[in-house]
Amino acid sequence: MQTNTLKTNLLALLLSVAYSLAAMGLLLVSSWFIAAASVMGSSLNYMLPAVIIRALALIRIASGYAALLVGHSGFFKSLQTKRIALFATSLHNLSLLEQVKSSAQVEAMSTTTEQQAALWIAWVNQNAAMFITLLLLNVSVYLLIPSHLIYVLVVTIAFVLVYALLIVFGLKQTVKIAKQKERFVTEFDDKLHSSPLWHLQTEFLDKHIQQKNSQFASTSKLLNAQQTQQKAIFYGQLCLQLFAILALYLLFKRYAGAASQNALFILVPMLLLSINDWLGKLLHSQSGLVDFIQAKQGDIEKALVNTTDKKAQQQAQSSSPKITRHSQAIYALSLNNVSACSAQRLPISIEINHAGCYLFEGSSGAGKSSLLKAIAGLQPFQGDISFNQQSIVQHFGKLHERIVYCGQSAPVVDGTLAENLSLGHEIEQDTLQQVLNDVNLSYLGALTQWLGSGGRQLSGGERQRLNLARALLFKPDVVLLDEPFEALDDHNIALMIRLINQLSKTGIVLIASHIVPQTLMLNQRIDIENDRVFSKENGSEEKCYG
Amino acid sequence: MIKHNHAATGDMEVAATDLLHSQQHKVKNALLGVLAFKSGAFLCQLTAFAAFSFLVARLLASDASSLVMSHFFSANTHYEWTLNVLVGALGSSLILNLFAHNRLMALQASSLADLEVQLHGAFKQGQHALVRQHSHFYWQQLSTEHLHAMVKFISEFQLQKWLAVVTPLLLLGVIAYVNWFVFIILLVCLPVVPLFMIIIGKGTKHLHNTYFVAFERLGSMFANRLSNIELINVFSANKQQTQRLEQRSNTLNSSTMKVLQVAFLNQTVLDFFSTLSMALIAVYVGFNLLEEINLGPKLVFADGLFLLIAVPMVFSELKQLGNLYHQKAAAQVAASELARVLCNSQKSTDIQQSPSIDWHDFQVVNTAVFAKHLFVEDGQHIWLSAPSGAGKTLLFEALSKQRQASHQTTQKVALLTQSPCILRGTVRDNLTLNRPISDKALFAMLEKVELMAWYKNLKQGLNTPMDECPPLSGGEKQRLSLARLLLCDADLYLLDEPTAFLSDAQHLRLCRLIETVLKDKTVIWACHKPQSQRWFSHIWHINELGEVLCHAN
Repeated sequence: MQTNTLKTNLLALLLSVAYSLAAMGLLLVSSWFIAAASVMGSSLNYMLPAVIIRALALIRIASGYAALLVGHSGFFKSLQTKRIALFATSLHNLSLLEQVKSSAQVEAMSTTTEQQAALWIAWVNQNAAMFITLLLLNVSVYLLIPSHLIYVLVVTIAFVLVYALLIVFGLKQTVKIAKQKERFVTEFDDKLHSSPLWHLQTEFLDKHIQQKNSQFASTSKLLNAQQTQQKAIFYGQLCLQLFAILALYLLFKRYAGAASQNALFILVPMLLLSINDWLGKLLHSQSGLVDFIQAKQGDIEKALVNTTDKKAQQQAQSSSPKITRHSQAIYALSLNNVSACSAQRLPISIEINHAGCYLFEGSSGAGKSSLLKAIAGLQPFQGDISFNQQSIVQHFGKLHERIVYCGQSAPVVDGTLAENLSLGHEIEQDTLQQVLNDVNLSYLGALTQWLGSGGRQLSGGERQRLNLARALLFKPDVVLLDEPFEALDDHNIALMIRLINQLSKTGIVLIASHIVPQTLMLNQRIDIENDRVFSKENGSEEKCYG
Repeated sequence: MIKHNHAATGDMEVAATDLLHSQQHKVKNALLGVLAFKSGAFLCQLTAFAAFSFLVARLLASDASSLVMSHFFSANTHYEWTLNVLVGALGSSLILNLFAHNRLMALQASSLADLEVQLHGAFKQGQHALVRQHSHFYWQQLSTEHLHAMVKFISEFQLQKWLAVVTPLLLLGVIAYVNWFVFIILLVCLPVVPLFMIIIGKGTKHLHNTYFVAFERLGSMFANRLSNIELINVFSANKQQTQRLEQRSNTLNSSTMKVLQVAFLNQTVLDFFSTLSMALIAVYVGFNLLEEINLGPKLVFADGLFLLIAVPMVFSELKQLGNLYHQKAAAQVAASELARVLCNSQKSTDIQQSPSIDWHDFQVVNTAVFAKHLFVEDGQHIWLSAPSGAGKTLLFEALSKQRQASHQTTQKVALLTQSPCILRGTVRDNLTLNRPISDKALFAMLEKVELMAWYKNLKQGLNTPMDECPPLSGGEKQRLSLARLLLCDADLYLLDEPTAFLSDAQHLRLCRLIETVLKDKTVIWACHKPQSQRWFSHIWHINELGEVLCHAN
């Protein structure tokens, strides 16, 4: 895969060089040809140059098209390699578990890989081609008309300097742009966050006056920073053109009145005159390199440090940052003084020794979900969690094949219905169909039905049931359900309860919910806000520790 | 239903196009100014080409022979003078381009500001009713990527479109003056270029449609799997999903390449014509000078060189337009998103405004919610009961003026939402919302909502930042919100299931508190299971049809 990609990229590079050389050749040979035709008259052998001109034109057209195609093919290949590598490492990276839930983060990871993969197509090809062309140009001018070399050299050096300066400036400016963007996002997010209160705020009450200073963050500074970048490139181009004009002036001045019959004299003036077309435009490509360097530097891990919760970060680093896996059967579970997030007010202790349904009760945001995640090994926590009478100690990043956690968002992956259930595991079609019947989702259609983007969209109730269907399919010992009744109507709630009651006969079911339906058969209710444990088993109400 | 949706989508496209047009219209004059600068720069460049060809001719001539003739300069023109013309023309071309560039940047800034004013106006109008419809990420993208895409389109793309027409026309005029034969050839060939581009565009579209399903489904595969790594991990499907991702991206890549094979032809056509024109002109001019062919008028060297340099310029702006073409698609997407937002919040003209609520034939715009007669008297306590999804929230948003409806009250309305909203600032900021309120009043209020015990633990009192306070339970957060609401001293209080996300114990406590503190106020309270029915004087019910029915309790 790697070498294959490299080969494709190298081929694209070769084609770009051919394209660039053919373009330059065409310009120079054409102008030389008409100069020679007028100077030498009928003594010129005109057939050969005419053929060369047409050949160069054809090479240019063909190599241009091929370079585009091969270059993009290489780009897609390396993008694929990069993304799959990133995906494979992300799967084991604990600190990413929370991060990837924000679309902004996923978007950032997509762009970063894209910018890295685009290096060849956006920078290497054009630049290598142009630098080779420049080199050959200097050599051929030296060989053909050495007296003109000085002018070409001056412009070449000017170009290299301008280019280097632009890259340095570009790197600095990209940092500024990123900062501006971050500032805007923070301010804007805060403002949006307070939107339920806008109708109470005085500055919003008078709707008829368009205030000049809007209360909303503006992106004008961001645009400004981006424009500064564009302007820098534009000024670079101007600078290069000024050098070319100067060189052109000096050249014409030097030969004033000293007419020569040498048709080659036309070459260097032609180059200088059209410098913006063949060299100036290259300055725009520096953004390709700048993006690449930026993407490399701000590689996912580093970008995360700023945003991640400091505590979680430390914990993730002190313990092994990799996800490990266990497959031992689990029949008991105990929590001792566990607290899994800062919003949780009291540490929780509980012993569960047999199958049944247990419920964490509390308001939204009280820390119920974090508690479930901590048990699943998906969240750092304080206190002790262990399984099978303390014989297995749980820690962050330790996943058990016999524990299934069904998240609150009830995720649907882009894929077929079958894939959404099996997630790629080899499972018989009949089993899948059976589970679908159980959760009353068989009306969704064939197992090949596509769900998610570009396919069928599921309602909240359907998602919850799909979520549960997965849990049923894998027959785990412990099922953790996060808000399974959220956004469901009565009919769907009844269906969920039936399934949960069924599950709790054979395994431990732990539910986090602020809704507690009457018909749900519960072994224990734990109110995590008011430190009370209601136990249905002995009908008494006991005080929890801590 | 489907037909209805289609009509709506069609309307939205029209609205998006209208939006783009009106924005374009606003910057038209300024943009024409930029075009004038650019055209001026182009003419300067042509002048420079003419001077350049003449100078080269002089350089190559052995004597004042026919070689130094030109359509632009007579044979006895001074060499030095022409050199000055060359440098002057090139210099002015640079300066004019610089002006054009700066004007364009300024124009973009003002155009962006204008679009932002519109968006912010929509925010002010629709408030939370609008904001809650999309994620914060969506709004971020709208304000950064989408608005910027529109600005780029109405400035850069529009300018380039004009340039792609103006510069070839100017150039053709000059070429006609120099050599009518080349002029006629170009005149015949030029229309072929757009023709080819249209054919290729059609082909690309057709191919794209063929692979549409693949693009639609597999395009976001990486992002989708990445955001689901928790799920994949929980079900130990790491290996399987990595394999799938690889397979699918292979499929996606091969379909993409098939479409690109045709799409890239577009660029190649332009390359083809500009390259070929150069090659053919070179051969034509050379052979004409050598007197090998005698098509068209007799050429002199200087004119021939001029043609060689100038003719490829016919295609260069068109080529640049092709490079910017992606801006058009991006702007259309952006415009339809923005149009959707602006459409929702457009003010309709026939809103009946009145201080008191005694409305006949009330209707919430674009929703099913309506009432034959809505009536609220000062001091009433109204229980709003409705099955979930019947439109409680819509009704509340209409009453609090965040959503358009046939009637609007001029009273001050305060709305308490399901989930509490805690701001980033200090405790004081959270209570006062930047209004000047005395500490005494704040303490009294905290006492009233039973938060004094919590408050006493705060290290810096009212100036403690919220994130340094001990964590609040869900009920306490709602109590803080309630305090904030009461401090606003509104005429009408709307409570949209403030206990929906609370545990049973917290629900009871908050209900009791609300009944006490809002006893003397006008209240409409949506609630699944009220603490005491007797507290309410009236009951409103929303039925399946969306009709609000009012009766006394």
